[in-house]
Amino acid sequence: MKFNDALIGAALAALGVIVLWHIQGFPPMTGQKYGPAWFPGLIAIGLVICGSLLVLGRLRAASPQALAELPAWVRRPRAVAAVGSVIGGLLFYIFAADSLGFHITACLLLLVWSRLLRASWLLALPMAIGATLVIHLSFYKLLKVPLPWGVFERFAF
Amino acid sequence: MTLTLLGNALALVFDPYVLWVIVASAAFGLFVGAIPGLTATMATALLVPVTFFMAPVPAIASIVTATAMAIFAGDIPSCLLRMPGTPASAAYTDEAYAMTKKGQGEVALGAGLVFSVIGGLFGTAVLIIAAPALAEIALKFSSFEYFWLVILGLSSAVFLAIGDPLKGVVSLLLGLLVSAIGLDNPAAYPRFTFGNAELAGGFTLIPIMIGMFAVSEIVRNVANMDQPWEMAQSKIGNIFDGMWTLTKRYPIQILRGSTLGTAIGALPGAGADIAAWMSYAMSKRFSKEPEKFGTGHVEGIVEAGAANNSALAGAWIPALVFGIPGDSITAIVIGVLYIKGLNPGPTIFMEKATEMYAIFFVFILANLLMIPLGVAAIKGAKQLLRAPREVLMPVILLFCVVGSFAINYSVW
Repeated sequence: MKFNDALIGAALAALGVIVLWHIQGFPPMTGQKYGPAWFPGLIAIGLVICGSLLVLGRLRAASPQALAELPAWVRRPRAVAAVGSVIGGLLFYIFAADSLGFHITACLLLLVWSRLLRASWLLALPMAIGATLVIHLSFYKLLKVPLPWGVFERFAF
Repeated sequence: MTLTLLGNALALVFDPYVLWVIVASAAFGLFVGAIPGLTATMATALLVPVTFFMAPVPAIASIVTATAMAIFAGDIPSCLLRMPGTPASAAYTDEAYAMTKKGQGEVALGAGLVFSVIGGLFGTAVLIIAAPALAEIALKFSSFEYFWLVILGLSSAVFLAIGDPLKGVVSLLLGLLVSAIGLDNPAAYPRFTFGNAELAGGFTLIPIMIGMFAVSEIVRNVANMDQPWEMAQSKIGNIFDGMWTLTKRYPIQILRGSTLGTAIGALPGAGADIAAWMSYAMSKRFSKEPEKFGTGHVEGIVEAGAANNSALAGAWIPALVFGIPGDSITAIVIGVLYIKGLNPGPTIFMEKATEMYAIFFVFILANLLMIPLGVAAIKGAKQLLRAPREVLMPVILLFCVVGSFAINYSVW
């Protein structure tokens, strides 16, 4: 997705203003010239300047630019589903991994992802289980990363 | 003194565990580099969570080896599929493919391998000589010089955005704003945390890098996976045939490509891909037969193939001495160096001399190892390129998730 520079510029400038307003509440450091508000303030001023420049540059440019341009893959439903599943899947992992456990979540996600990319069940199923097992062995067993067990807590190995 | 140092460094490298790590990362790098859409930068980002659990030398060794292999392996699909395996091969993809179409696939692949090795060794030699010398000068720096050095390093972000410097500045500011989140400021005042305990710790570098460099590429890949790949040539003969003749015919091109590549690599911001584009253009500009470029002529491949591998080593010069990344790979590496207690800076060659020399040895070893492993990768290219992407991408994505989790044991 490509947004118009003017839109992005306006959003950046607005972000800068919000940050500038927010840092007004930061306390000064006693006996120091520069407090915690100083550096974010600098950044915010930079954001306002750059945002305004983007808007100005767009207004001055001769050729018009669409407000938002969609990339070519958006017209292919399969690709949209695949990209959506990546983002949705990551969110799902964040919220479900702790209660459902790593193993179920990982297997489920791998299955959904590879099926959406048109892998056959014959390929997707063993790969999902195999990859989960390999990650379990390498990260949980070898590197001692505490991957959550969730509902499988009783069967932890 | 120096001899014991070198001996200790050699002992660090020729440890069975380290050698095993090097070979494994080499195979990993070849694989990632040869699959179009997976880049050397992504290979580095994926390695970081694994290196997190290693000693400093094997950790850095795995990144050095994997990236060197990946940049070379990017040439393989260029020749066979007309798709660059990594952006660094894009400059001469059409040329290499045209050679394969003409029945000279072996020459194109061989030139990619042999001159990658030569370029890589050249860049390494410059790194070994220049970095400690530069550090000597940098030792005299005081706070003022460091201040400007940091400014220079930050401004390299602007050069990275080739299209529009203004947008580069915007990305830089947004990055700085993200880094301002949390308690980590001299006043220890919780900035932009909104009372959230997780935000108070600020953002951890590695998950950010995995998201920016690895997940973004996966998204790009899954969005464009409808087209199948077709190989232009499936049987590959002896790739070393005629390489000596090429070396004798194009010595200046090799030297020019390696020198330019190292220099571009050492410049903050620009890396192997820009080095390849520039030296391909330079090769054409100074060639005696520029009209042949684009029709399957090996000269540009020789020069640009050397350039992109030498850029890899060149990028480590500012990274080690000043902590300023020479390219996107070393931008990640600097984070790893800090985690491993090898804080980049001019004193690194005094305090961590053994480790530094060990890393130099790894550079040499990795480039030499490229010859046998590169041949194997070329021979196995058919199988390699048939790797099922429809399950590969999901597995890499899950690896990204677990890798990020492994850094601070939290999904946030």
